[in-house]
Amino acid sequence: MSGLIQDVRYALRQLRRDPGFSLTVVITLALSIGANTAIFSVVNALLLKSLPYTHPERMGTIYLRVTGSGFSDERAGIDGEKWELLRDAVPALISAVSGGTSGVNLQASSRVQYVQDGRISAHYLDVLGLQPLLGRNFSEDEDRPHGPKAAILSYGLWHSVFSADRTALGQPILLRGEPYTLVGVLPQGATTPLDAEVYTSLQPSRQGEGGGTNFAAITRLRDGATWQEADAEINRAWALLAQRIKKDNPGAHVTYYSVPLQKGQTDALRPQVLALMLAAGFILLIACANLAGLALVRMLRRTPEVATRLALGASSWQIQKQFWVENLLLALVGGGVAVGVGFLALRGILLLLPEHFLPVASVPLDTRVMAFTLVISVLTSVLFGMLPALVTRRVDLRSSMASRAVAGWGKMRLRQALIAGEVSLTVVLLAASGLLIRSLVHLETLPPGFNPNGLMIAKASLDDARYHDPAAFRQLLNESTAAMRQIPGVQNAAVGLSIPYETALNDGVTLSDGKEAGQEGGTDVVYVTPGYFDTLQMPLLAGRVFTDVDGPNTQHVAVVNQAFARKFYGGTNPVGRYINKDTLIVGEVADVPLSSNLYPVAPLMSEQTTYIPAAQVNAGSLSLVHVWFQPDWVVRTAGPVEGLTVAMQRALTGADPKLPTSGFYRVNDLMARTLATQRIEVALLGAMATLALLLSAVGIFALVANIVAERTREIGIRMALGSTPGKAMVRIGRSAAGASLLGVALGLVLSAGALRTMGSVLYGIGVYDVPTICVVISVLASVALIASTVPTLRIARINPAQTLRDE
Amino acid sequence: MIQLKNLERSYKSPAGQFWVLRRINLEIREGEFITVMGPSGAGKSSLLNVLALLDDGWEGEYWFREQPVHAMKRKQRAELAKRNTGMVFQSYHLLDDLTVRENIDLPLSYKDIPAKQRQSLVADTLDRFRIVAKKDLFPSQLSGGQQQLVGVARAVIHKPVLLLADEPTGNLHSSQAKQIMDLFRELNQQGTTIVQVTHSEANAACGSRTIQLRDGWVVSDTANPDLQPYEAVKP
Repeated sequence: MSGLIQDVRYALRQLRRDPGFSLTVVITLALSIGANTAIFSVVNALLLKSLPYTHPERMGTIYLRVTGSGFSDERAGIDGEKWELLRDAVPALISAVSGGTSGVNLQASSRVQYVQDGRISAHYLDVLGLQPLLGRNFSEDEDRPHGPKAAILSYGLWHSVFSADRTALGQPILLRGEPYTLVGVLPQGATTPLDAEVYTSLQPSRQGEGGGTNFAAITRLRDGATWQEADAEINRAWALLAQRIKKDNPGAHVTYYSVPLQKGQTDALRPQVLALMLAAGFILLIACANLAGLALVRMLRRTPEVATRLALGASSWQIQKQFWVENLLLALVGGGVAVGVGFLALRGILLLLPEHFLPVASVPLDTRVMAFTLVISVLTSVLFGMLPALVTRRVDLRSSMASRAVAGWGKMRLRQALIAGEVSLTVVLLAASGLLIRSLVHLETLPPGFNPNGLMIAKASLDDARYHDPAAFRQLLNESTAAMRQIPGVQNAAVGLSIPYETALNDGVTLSDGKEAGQEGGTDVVYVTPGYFDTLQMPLLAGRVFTDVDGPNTQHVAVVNQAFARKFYGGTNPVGRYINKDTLIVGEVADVPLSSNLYPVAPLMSEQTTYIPAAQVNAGSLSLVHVWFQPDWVVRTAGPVEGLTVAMQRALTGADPKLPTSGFYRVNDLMARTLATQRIEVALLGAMATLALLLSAVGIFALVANIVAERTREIGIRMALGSTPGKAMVRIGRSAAGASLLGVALGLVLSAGALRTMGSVLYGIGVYDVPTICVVISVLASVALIASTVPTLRIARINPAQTLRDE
Repeated sequence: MIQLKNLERSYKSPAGQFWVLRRINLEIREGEFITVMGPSGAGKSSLLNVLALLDDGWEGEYWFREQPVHAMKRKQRAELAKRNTGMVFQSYHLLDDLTVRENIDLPLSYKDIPAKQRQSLVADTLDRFRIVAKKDLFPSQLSGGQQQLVGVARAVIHKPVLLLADEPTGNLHSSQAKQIMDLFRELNQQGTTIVQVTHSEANAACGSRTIQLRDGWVVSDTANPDLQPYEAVKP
């Protein structure tokens, strides 16, 4: 123990005497380990940390695997029929479904506010193992269609609206314009997969919402049951449904199976998160290569000291122990600082993410993350200390105790190999981030099909019983858009259920005439007010747009886009054709990019779209669509208008004082929201690629600087014998340039394999995109050139005469 | 104490085999104070490195207190050297990051000696060499003579039976050199066998025996007047 204490003391002294080296190592470790800590925090929260519920290993969800003709393996969508079978015919499970989270207007205690409502079936909280702090769960009666309307508040909302008043239980609150009875309050800190502020009973049925796969199921194994039993029961219960799938996919094999709920919730993000972890691992390897090079040089400078210690009786292990202790100290200090860096990086990542992007309530730096940081700190000290330690084993006492320690060519080759290695990893990261950037640019520069400039959008929730009435709905739209047109500076105003760059409602469509009669398919559906196309400046390609004449009692009409005409009419003019029995297509407009929902191939793409007059939407549709969608009030202005959002709010409030807006957006905001995943991938991977580039540059710079320092004597002698500074610079810089070139070549080979896995996340470009590769090579070559050249500038200051005198 | 029989050392070079020690036959008795002399490149330091067991690349026989060093593995030789030899270098080879006390303690730290005992030995040595006041200074704060004094103290703290000195006064002024040689004489009188390499006749005079080397051969040995050197290197 006293020996170890002595080693630690000596190590601290050594590191204090070399502050440049120590600082470089600590900063390099802090950045690289910090990046790993931040990403691992997300991995931990998403994939490793148990769900915050009782016995999370007994909680699951249901997946559908289809093999044979085609393959799919994803979370099973649940409709009303499936839900009833699951509830009634699978006794091994306690099951529940949810209808997702949507924004609604809450009126309570004379306050009106916009809140997130999670719609859940009766036993949802039982599956989670959550008991309300106050009151009770939903009853079976409250969960049947048209049953009593009940609500459970989150602790935070109960606190803010009712000031934590226990007598609030049993009181009515207005949600969606309808009275709900407050039956329960969740405990403080309780979290659900929906992460909502208020919970209402879903009241699922086979109609309406339940007519499509709009529910998500969660399950809990009953005591004594096994997952195998549950899966067998599920497959028996849904056998007829599986038959329907097989009918549409001859030869297919259909299986339903349970997966842990954690996997089900995080599956969509798993590949991206693991890819980021891999990238962070690359950063760590690059940092280790850098530090191994620095440590090797430092060790070589200390070869006389090593030789002296060996001559005085030290064993090889005793020498190496000293260096390991120094490396470990540096790694632990670096790891300590890395916790701070990781914390800041994690905050930055979380700020980058849109609200509710991650399906977890929080991403903490918990014990597991700290342990991970400690382990990789120790591991990096082993990795970057290994080379110098191996070199000490081969110290030649006789020559090492002579005057100077010069890096032999063996060590030079080693250092060049380290540079080549880290440059090759940098190539992979740069290429990957370059491809993602190109893909994102492709998505962001898709032809908009409308004029996105000068638009302001307001959203408001119409998930309100008052607007199940078409007349009230029409009145709201007419009055609010008319008021908005009166705002000074506003050129036009309209309302649409969705606008470009957003997800649209999708529904079935049946062609009703011509040779295509009877053909069915899917289409996006958007209800719009008459000025919609003019306000967005969407080109009209054929026929006409809607007017005030297109009302509830006139011919049902529709306008379709080019994609619809291509899909169903082979690109011919669709004007005059009939769909859905009696709806007449009166116009064709240009395609606009939507957040793909129908047949998702890319996050933004054109899909067949049917526009219908808002005035012709029936009551049944109104009560349904506003559960999932908040319509957009769109105004166009010629230029900036001061106080525009306030004026728009006033126009809405004038039409309905109890209708708060949920937000104001520009078109870019909507695009950003739709492309959030892609933007985050670019930001994170881009940051890591930049860090890798910086580390590689530092590594190259350090290598060349060391060579210049070690060979100053040789350079001085050469210059005294007739060489020029320029020749010396080229000679010295060549060794690093050669290593960098080799690294680039290796990196391209690595990328050929690694980038293949990116095919599914790239849009508009291939994985072997030549311009991207060329840019990567150019960037690396430039950085390597600068990093190789700058330290050689010192050569110009070498005085040959002084060098010879020093000899 | 030491017997060398036909000991040779060579290096491979692009021009062929390069010999630094040729057929060295030598006997060193306990308590001798031997000076090894010769021109540059004669093999003096090479011989010293072999005697100190710092060099493994030699051939021949090397007996140390009747133990066959030539038959030992590297670890065994290192152990033998650790216990029995001390080395003093021309360039002192003190560790710049360690204080005087720590430099002197260094050889003890590589042995299994309890900390308290080590402290006691170091204190005694500091006292013996009259450098107690300098124990917390670093080598850069000492004169050349003081540094070499510390080097000698470090070499003898573990009471080696054999002290090897390679140009111990090469970097010192004459007065400092005399101080060091007086110290060597004192150590020799106390029983330590000393082998020094030097160019200085004055230093050589402190010893009891002088061996001359040339081109790797022993050409004369005051303890062996009948020595017949190799023809090519006869003086």
